[in-house]
Amino acid sequence: MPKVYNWQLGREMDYRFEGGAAKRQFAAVFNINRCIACQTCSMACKSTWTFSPGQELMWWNNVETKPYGGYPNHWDVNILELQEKANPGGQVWDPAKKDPKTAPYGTFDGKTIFETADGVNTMATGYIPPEADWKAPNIHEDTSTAIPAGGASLPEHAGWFFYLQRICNHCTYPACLAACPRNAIYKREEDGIVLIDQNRCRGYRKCVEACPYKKSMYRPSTRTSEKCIACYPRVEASDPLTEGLPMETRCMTACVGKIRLQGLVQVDANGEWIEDRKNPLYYLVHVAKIALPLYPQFGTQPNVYYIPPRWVPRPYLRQMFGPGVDDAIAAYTNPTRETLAVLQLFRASQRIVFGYRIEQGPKTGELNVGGQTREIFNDTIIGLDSNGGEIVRVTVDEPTAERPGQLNSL
Amino acid sequence: MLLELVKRRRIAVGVVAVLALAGVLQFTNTNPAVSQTLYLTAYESGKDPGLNPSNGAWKDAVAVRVPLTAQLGSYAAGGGTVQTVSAKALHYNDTLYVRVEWKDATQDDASTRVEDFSDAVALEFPAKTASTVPSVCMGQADAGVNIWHWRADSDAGLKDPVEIYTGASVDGYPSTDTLFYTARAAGNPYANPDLGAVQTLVSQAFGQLTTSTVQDVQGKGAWANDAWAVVFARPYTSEGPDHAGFGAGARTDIAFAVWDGSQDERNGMKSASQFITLSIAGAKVPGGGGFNSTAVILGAAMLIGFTALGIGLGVYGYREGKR
Amino acid sequence: MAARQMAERHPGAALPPVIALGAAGLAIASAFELLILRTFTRTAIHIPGITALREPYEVLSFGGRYAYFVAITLLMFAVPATAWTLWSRGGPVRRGMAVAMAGFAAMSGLAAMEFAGRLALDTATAGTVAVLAVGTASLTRRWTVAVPIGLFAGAFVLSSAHTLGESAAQEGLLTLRTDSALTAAEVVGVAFALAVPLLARGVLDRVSVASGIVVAAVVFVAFLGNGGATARFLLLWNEGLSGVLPSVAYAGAAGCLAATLAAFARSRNGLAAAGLLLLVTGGIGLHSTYQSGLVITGMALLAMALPNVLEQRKQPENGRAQDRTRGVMPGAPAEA
Ligand code: SF4
Ligand code: SF4
Ligand code: SF4
Repeated sequence: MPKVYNWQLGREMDYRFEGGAAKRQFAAVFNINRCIACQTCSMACKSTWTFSPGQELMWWNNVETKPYGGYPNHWDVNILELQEKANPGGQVWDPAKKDPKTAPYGTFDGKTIFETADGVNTMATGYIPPEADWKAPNIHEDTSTAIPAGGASLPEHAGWFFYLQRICNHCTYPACLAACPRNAIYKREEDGIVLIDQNRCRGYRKCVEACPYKKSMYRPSTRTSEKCIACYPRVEASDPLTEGLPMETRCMTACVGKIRLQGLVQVDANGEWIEDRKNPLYYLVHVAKIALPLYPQFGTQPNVYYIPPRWVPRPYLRQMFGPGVDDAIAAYTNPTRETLAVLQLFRASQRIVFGYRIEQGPKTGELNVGGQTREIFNDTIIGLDSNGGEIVRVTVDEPTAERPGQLNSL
Repeated sequence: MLLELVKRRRIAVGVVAVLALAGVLQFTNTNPAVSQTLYLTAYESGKDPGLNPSNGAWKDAVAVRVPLTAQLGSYAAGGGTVQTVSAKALHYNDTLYVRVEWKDATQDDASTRVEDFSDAVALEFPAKTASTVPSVCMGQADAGVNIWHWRADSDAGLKDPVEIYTGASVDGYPSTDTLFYTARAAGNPYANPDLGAVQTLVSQAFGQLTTSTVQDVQGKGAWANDAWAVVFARPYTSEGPDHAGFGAGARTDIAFAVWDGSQDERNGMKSASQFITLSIAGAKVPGGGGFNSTAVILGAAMLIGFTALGIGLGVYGYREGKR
Repeated sequence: MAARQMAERHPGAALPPVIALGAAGLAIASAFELLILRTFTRTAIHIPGITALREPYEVLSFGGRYAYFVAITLLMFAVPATAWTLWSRGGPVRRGMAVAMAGFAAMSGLAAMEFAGRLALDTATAGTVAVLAVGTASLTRRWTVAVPIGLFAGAFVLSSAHTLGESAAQEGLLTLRTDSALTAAEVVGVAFALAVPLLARGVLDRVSVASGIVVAAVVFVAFLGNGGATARFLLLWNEGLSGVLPSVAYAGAAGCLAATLAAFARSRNGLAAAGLLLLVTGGIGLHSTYQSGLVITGMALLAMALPNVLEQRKQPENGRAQDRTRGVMPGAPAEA
């Protein structure tokens, strides 16, 4: 198999094809800390794309309660187990082998799902979750690991759960694409969106088997596999609603908890992000480093990044998001002035924000979090479109208004 | 010296003659070699065999048992569950009938659940008969293959899950137009509920298998007593580009592949045979397990002659050694 | 009596040069055909981007096919010519072998003209291979020859048994269950390859052994790469082996064959080398009269060449390093 560079793992790895499939890449940041599991995103997707016969069990967007929940059930535990079995005791990181650009989280010394596969029988280690596993998408909702008598407090809760929001990661090195023996899956050059050609697909379900995130799904009524299409008519602005300006996807824009921010980033032939300091996604992932990939050790270089939940035991989070967790939580707990401003862009507009500008405001408060004192400034952040035009402006302090007393008595 | 020269010249002439003769053979597509693979003879049937695998017409046709091996050549490799297919062939009314039978303890004829894969069988023919067979592995760039692919799930018909899970409660579907069956709307033949049991495909390389524009192969399968029996039928001549052609007295090659759905076999994960010879005999099927006396007598003569010769040489050698 | 023995023991090393040349040509053409027609054009699909190289592919494919026709043209002369040479050297064993070959040639011809059925042709083919093996053993009377040649013939006959059984059924005879014969053939076939260095006992020098090891290592690595898929696939295609045994077996087999070939070539036993190469290009089992013809010619060449190898073993210094660099192919006439 050819070698490709996976910056999330800080090293080269085996992949069926040469890299460099995309020039721009669909990417998103999900702030787990803010999700309320309202499932508005899940319904937004379903009511747009998957409401027809044969799609009953499909949730291209799903929100599951960790650590017990999963759609399909136990998908992540199952893959981790398969990988561990293939490389017992070897699935470890070396956080010390680090480079700010090419290995920001350290180096993964274990094997990816491509490296545990033989390249003839399978291209990526995986399994097909049976139908029963897809039938309870919100199983174990709100189930905590414990109900501690003394309550729970930071930095790590004694009893905990959290919501994990999942869509297809439109991976830089998609396992679904590598696995398709008919080459019916392709990654678009202009935005890195991974699609299944519905004409070519023969329902072999090799993609269902290979995708470690289980985001390629089988549709019996057409005997083909389908997956999240990243709402590409919105992203590419061909949907009339967009009026020609790239728009975030349905699941993003519907988000009630304002946890999601999605956009397009520029990538080079190695799949590495080209420096774009004022792109909010670039800033959150590569500058502030508060958003981390989900199970990067699988090796697909997923493009949805998560701000990890602050209250969850670190070993669990490190397994899920890699060794960058501790720094990410620290940086999120006490955000810099810029980070705080950028976080305001989440769900400020339906349009894709390609850049931002910050106008400094006055100091409006002081906080003490985790023993650290921090000043709050009411800065204004301005979201820009791809031509530098202003889309939206928001302030750090949310504007409030007090209703006059006599109105209250009405 | 002179003798040497004459000899050399003779050799040179000989070399040129061989090369030229080879060229002539290639140019005229004359292959002096005879295939010695397994062979299957399609005799003319006394009555219409139809598509029902248990039709009495098949009783007199003799089966050839073709060994299959796992496909280990290329991704997605696998298979190997089914080790033998038993094939028969007949012709009737200028139509070729091929009947394949193989052991399979499970009848997998639906692909409703994500983990369900269909049993299937395929026949492969060279797109055109030539002196050398194409790669059995989906053909090669300059020698295509024609594949007839029967799938148990296609034979059983395509249904929506709500028609299968009759107890399911559904609030309703906003629309059930074809547009919302995405693959169907995209023209995917396998998403079409009117798909026949057999798909005709053509290929010139691995991974380039395409559904032919002309679908003229019919087929029907039946599962009983832990075994599938499937009948394929196609008129001798076909309009389809790169479709195999047949005719009484003609000879071509045929290969087989079988998928066992319960073992998750699909695509390249299959048990496949090498090409064997298929000859279409002008004669009627020799009824009642017909005994071809000429062939058998000649064969027996060979067997006896060579055995005697072998034993003779052996004994002679042994005696000489003793001396 | 004495005269006959003389003829048997001293078969006259020199072969008519035309035959030597023809044998060399046949071995080379069939090897080229094996590499290009049976191997490259069928595996090229696995080379990424080959579709872009359609023209060179077609040229090569055409060349491979031409090599096939050259080989088969040569073969049409080689079978009768080697049979005649055997016959003319006298002695009941050689003459018996020649008769068997004539039988095969006759049946192939008749079958090509549709005068003979497959049952007779296939029986004659397997029979000829068996008779040639017995004959070679009788001629040399050495276990080092009898074992490998016998194993080859055994594998060939076992592999043919399935086809013969099915042919018999087609002609209305009883159906036998012969499937297991194929696996047995595979095991015996690999055993043949592993035993083949016995043929070169005494002429197997270090360089040959080293080249055998290199080939074995290369084959082993080929089996390691992509899980042995392509290698197993080629085995099936070219040698009629299904690749069920562990890859070490095939690597070892290839190494032994290579070492023996090298030893023959280096000890100026070109004829033996050509014979062995023909066994490889012909493969095990019934494929076509072309491949069977290669095998039968190969066995006949070995029957003529192996006594020389044995002679050489008796006088190890004889001719050995005389002229190593002379690349003259099969048993260059020692006249002059
Ligand atoms: S998440 Fe799965 S389906 Fe999506 S691109 Fe990655 S491998 Fe493919
Ligand atoms: S991006 Fe679009 S298609 Fe994908 S999960 Fe979200 S709403 Fe569904
Ligand atoms: S809409 Fe937003 S807040 Fe609601 S479940 Fe989805 S991601 Fe969480």
